[in-house]
Formats: sequence, structure tokens, C-alpha cells
Amino acid sequence: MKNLKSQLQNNQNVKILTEEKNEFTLEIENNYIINIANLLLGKNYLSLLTIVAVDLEEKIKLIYRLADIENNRFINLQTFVKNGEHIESLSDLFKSANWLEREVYDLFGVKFLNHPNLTRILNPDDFKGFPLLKNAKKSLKKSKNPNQLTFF
Amino acid sequence: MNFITAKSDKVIKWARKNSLWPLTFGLACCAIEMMSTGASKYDLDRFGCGAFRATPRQADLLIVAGTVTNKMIPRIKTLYDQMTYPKYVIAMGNCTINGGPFSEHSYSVTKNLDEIIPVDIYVPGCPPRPEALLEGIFKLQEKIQNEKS
Amino acid sequence: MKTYTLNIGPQHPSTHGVLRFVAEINGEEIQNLKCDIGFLHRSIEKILENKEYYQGIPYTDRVDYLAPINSNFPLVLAIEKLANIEVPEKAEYIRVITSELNRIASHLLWFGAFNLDLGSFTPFMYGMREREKILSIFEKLTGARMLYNYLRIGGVAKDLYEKFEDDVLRFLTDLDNKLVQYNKLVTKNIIFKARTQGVGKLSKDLALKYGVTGPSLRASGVNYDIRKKIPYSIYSKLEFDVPTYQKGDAYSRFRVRINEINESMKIIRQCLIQIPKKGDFINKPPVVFKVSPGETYIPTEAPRGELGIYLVSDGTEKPYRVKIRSAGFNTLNCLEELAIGQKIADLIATFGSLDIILPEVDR
Repeated sequence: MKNLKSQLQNNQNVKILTEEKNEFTLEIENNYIINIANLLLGKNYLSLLTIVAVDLEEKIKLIYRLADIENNRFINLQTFVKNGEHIESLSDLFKSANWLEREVYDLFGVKFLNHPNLTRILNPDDFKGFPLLKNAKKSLKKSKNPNQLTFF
Repeated sequence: MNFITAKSDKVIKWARKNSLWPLTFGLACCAIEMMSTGASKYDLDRFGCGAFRATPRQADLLIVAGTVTNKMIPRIKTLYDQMTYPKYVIAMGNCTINGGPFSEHSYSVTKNLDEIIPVDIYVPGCPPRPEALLEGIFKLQEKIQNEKS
Repeated sequence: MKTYTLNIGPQHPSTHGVLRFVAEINGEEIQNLKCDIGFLHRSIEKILENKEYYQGIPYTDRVDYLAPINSNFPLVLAIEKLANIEVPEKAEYIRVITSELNRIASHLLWFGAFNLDLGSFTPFMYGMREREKILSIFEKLTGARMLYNYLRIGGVAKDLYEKFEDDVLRFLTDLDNKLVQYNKLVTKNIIFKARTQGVGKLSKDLALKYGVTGPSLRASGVNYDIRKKIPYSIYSKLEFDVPTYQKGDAYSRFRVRINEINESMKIIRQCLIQIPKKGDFINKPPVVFKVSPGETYIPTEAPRGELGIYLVSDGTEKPYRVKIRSAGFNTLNCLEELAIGQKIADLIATFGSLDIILPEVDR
């Protein structure tokens, strides 16, 4: 743990926000995400448990929760994506990022580069709009055509 | 020689109402109460409705138990069309009647089931008790007995 | 190689919910599997942003309706942490007792449904019969059979009734005797073993890469239980074991859950001895309830895995963002890789043993 902490403190691209017994909260720029993910993967943080997205009007805050389950250590990575910008996908390094990033795209509209299959997952395929943004229109278009089925 | 005479109409309706075969179509929380009704404490088999069939071609009662979302509408329509006449529909739970707890601020829930398929009996509750579902089935049996054929 | 596309549609005779599999098969073996979810997406997270804090508790009931008290728990803990509200000791014990009773009820229903998937009907009736006894205890306590809306900010809604302890102890002694019979009927049954041993092997590596938690991870050799590693409420004062198996197949997952029923019974017995006889059951906050700005993440151990809530508050009466992290989402993602090379009947056995329910995945 001390080894990781000193490595993070000496790194200029990483800012440590809070630090508890076995849980760190770090803030990074969104173009540094692949580097820090590789670094943490080397330190046995093998699982990506969840990705939380919060809409802050002009930008969207993404929080990745990485875990080293066998040793009970956690890291919350915080980064910001401005409206219209993209961020790299982590689906090569963490397999659970496949569906988690699809969910963030479906509900918030954040585009992930190099994702194998970035399509809607919870809403129907012909749904228009990103519903969980704060300025989503109330009358989002719904498809009520009974002869329409979804094929892959 | 012993024989009983009756109108064929009444005999056919009596046979039909005492052997309704439901389709396994539980969507959400109300499905668990439907399963409890079919289990041993509130036995549904003693009223003839115990044989849950998996395919719509062999069923004549569709109990829609749970919330209907927009993505599910084409499938419900297909299932209803695949059932053969005479067929009946029970709308179970508040979510199928008018949206239930999801009637406001939701972008993906269909508020009214009877805009999609014609409904015979509504059973309110969130979720309705097994006794309430049994009462709904009794009302359906009364309705079948008094139908004009 | 020419494959045949088979659609295992959203309406199917299993009881796990509306889920659609699109399988490409060659003979009986699956070459590729895709899951189509979203048939039960009820936009709970959007609704919670428009309701006040205490109005959101019944919606978390409906996220995992087989263990509603376990689903209320993280939301209530998150709100109390941000608002600095302390919960009286008797209320903590009541919360743990009811939440462990819910865990037993959920595992009993899973026991019945898993066997129904494999084709045997009798364990389903036995599981539902035992579950009805728990539901009648809850009906006397809260007024409802399912979806109780029982936990409140600062405690619980009602105090325990007079004969609660007698009812619960009588139920636990009865369940002890019945579990011996069920072990003879199912766990040592030759057909059940042939159907589940060696099927759906989830290696430790794959489970960690997909972020799988809960009994499915414990059956693959990782000893991780949030009640022991990140204890919340009063779990640090209780003694219980965490059953772990090494093989990772469907039979190990079955045995983990049966052993967890025994551990929950131990916890309930300890709580009934340690609970203070007199005390408040709630520390009531004011009706117009505002929370200081901040954000927090609370993980808890639900019967299916890690259920966590990330709560962001901006100082008003309604939360700014509530994110529900459910265990079924990651596990179902893992099933897409786990099913490759299996036969279709084995896919149903694997899917049943992972204990996924769809409203948790779709929210």
C-alpha cells in the first residue's frame, strides 16, 4: 500500500483527493485514463466494479471504481468529460467495461473510443435522446409500432 | 337408463370456466405473488387453473403480472395474437392499470395495458394478495358463465 | 461453419424475469451468445431524482423484490451518512434481524426456482412453503407480504410486536429439521449431482475480471464478504463463518447458498440474545429534511452480491443523482463468455445457479 501511495504522490498527472484506510479517491485528466489503468492493473487491481456518471450541466463526471478484491483495496478514479468530447474505452483491460460503458452511453450520451459494440443496452434501439441528462426533453419519442422487433 | 338433459350452451361454458389454463407470463414483482398463488398455501389447482403452460398455443388465459415497458409491447402483441379463441386477459397489479408507482417522471413505462390488448378483469394492488387474484379468477368465471355465445 | 440462430425469447418458463438470449448453435453446442436486456427498465434512477429522500425508499424495494429490506439498506445508510444521523442500537438490531430473515427467504425461493429449471417440481413446493412462514411473520410485523417499505431514515417504521421472538425461534427450529430432509432429497441426489457437477465452471480469474461478487465469487475460491471486510451496521459484533468452495461449478454455488442459510440462522439467534429490551426504534429527522452537499458510496451484501448506492446531494430536499450498482449486471455480462462451448440444457442450469433477477439488472 505504501509503495502504491508513494508512486501516486510522485506522479504529476494524478491528484489524491481523499485517503482512507484502504480506499483512495484520485482525480485525473481524461486522456491519462489508459496509463493509470495499466498501472493499477499491474498492482493487482483486477476488477472494475462500476462506472458512475453524474451530469454537471457543461460536463459529465465519471467515477470508475476499481477493486483488488483479494486484498480488500479500492480506488475511485474521477475524471471529467466535456460535452461533445470523447474518452478512451477500457474494454481491452477490464472485461466488465463492455456493458458498463454501454449503459453510460445509453443514458448520458458519452462516447467511448474503440469500444467493440457501442449501442443502446437498456432502452429500445430506436429510442431518441439521452434520458438521464438534466435537460432531457419530457416528451422523448417512444416507439409503439407493434410490428417492430429488434434483431442483432 | 339414467341420463341428464341440459342445454349444450351451459355445459360448454361450465367446462370452459373450470379449466382455464394460464400462460406463464410474469414480468416483475406481481409474478412472485402469482407463483405463490400457484404454490401449496393458496392452491390454484383446485379451481382448475393449475396447469401453467409455457406456449401460448396451448393456453387460454393471459395473466399480465408486472410492469409493461415500451420495449415489451411488440412481444405482448405477438403472444396475444398467437393464442387461439376463446381467450381471456387479466391485468394484475397497479402497474398495468395506470402505471402504478411509475406513472410520473418515467420515460419507458407504458401506462395503460388496455391500449394494447383488450382486458377482461382488473386486479388492483401493489402487489395484490393471492386472495385478491383468486377473487379476480372467480369474477372471470362468472363472466364466462354469463357470456352470450 | 454454418450455425443456427436460436432465440430464447423474453417469455420463457423460467422464473428469473424477462430476458432474451440469442444463441448461435452448431448441433447442441453454443458458439456465441448475446443477451438482450432492458425489458424491465423502469427508469427508477430518474424517478428518484424527482422525489424527496424519504419518498425514494419504496422504489428501492422494487429493485430487488425478493429481498426488499436488503435493498432499502444501502440507500438509508447513505442518507444517514451524509446527514450525520445516528441510529439507536435497538433499531440496528431490528434491521439486521429482518435483513437476515429476508436473506433466508430469498435463498429458499432460489432453491425452489433452480430445481424447477432443472425439471423437478417437489423442491419448489417445499421452498415456497417455508417461505410462506417467513412472510406471515413479516405480515404481523409490517402489514405487507412483500415490498414492506419498513426501513426509515434514522431507524425502522414500527417496533417489534410482543411474540416476535417466540415466532422466530419456532420457525428456526422447524427450518433446522426441514433442511436435513431437503439435503437428503436434493443435495445427495444422483440426478441432481449429474446435472450440476462440472457444469458452468467459473474460474477465479474470469470472476475477478468481470467484477462478479457474492455467492458466485465465493464458490470460485475467493473469500470475500462485505459484512466481514467492510462491516456496516452492527455486523462487527457478530460471529459467523463465510462458506467458500474451490471448484466454481453449479454444485458449489448451490452448496454455498445452503450453507449461507445456516449462517444466517446463527446470526439471528445471536441478535435475539443481544438485542436491548428497551430502546427507541427510530431517531426521527425533521419532516422538511435537507442533507448537506456531498457524495458517498455505500456497498452492502445482498443475497445476490454487492448492492451499492452512490448518492450525490446538492443541499436541497431531493437528491441530485442516485446510482444503484447491482450485482446481476456484471454477472450477466460474464455469462456471455461462460456459455461458449456448453450445451443448451447446461446453459439453463448455469443461468439458474448464478441467481440473477432482471429488475436488478435493468432497474
